[in-house]
Amino acid sequence: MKITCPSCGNHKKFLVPLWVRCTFRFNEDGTISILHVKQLESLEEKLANQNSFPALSCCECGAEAEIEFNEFESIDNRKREKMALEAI
Amino acid sequence: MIKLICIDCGNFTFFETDVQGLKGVEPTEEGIIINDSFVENWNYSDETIRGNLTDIIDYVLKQPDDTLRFDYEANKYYNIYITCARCGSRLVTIPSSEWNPTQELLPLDDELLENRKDFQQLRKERSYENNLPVLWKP
Repeated sequence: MKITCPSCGNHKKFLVPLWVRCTFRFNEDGTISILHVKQLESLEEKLANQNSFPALSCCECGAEAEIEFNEFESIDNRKREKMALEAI
Repeated sequence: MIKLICIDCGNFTFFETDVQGLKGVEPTEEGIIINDSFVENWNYSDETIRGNLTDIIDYVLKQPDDTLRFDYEANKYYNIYITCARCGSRLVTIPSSEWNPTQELLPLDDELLENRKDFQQLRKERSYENNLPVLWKP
């Protein structure tokens, strides 16, 4: 898997927003304490749907990131085209 | 001091709400690593959750009427943001409302007359209004 930012070329750090359910408590002094945080969304689904519903963004510039799940797909395609031409 | 109360079970301590947080994604050769996002030792992921949670709670406390919706089937109002963590009920609200004040308020004119002496005393103590502003100096 290859993740890149088309805007600045960053390929190291990205951000993804995730909805979570917070259980909290009101303390006697008026402050709030978080007791539990439960993830509500699947990160895998978010990454898989990145091309149709972009969620992953670049940590450096905030642009939408691009995910390439199979880096060797383009090489395979070229091989297949070559083999098809040879067969003809 | 009670800030929110569940009308179903009387709980005024433990509540739940949904907020949006941020996670850091780092691609490596083996796969991707999901962890908290740091910006110069400052945990951006934690602060996002804390900030969004505080924002929602403040909004519910400041604008209680905007956060309630009427359920026509149950014939009750329910909170669209916060649920009770004990019984799961959405019937969560602030203990009293400005529309239903616990004490009867005086008309404003009566209140001003009642506090007239206090204001006159304060007016004497206010030194900054006793001098006219200097507009021009020779």
